[in-house]
Amino acid sequence: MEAAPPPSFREKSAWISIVCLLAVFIPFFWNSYRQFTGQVDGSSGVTVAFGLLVAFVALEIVLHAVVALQTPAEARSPRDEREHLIEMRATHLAFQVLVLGALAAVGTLHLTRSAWVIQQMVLLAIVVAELVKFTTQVVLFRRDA
Amino acid sequence: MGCAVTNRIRDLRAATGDMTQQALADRIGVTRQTVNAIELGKYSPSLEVAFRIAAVFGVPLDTVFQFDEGTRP
Repeated sequence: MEAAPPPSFREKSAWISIVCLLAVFIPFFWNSYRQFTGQVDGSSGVTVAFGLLVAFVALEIVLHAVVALQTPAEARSPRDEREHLIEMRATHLAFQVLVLGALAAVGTLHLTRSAWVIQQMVLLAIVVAELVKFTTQVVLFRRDA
Repeated sequence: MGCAVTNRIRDLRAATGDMTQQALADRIGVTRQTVNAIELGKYSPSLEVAFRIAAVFGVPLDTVFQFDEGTRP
């Protein structure tokens, strides 16, 4: 009997995205919280956000390049039908999370008129939806393995 | 993605000189992980992929895949 196959490139890619999102956006939202509660000066917010965005893109590129070098043929090949199905199911779930997050962001209008807070809420909704998408992908890839 | 469709892909691979999952995957244009999921009955392939698998082994479709009619949706 053949051994179970190792994780596919797409599954590794989903793991990378989860790690990158957590590594970059936990510090980002922690900094936002400290700004909101007045523990740090808000003037550094844009610099921190820009720095973390650059770090996010760089991390994604470097980690994907490392994994792609291990299985270049798989990395170059298009998604097959099962991978498409998994991606669609994950995106479907993530969209529902995004809608809920967007509604929650609109709801903050009743608590504050601060554009900055609403902006943070929308960004949080996007990040959580992305995390849900990639986590669902990993779960579905693992369940079928 | 469990299904009521069973298959004999593993037997057919063994009968064809121990064809590997990767070799079959390459010939039908999917990943090895997808071939493994189909063999284990965890994923039902599209008709197109099912026909491609049958064509690789040179047998009719119902030699490769069987549908359990006792299973209700």
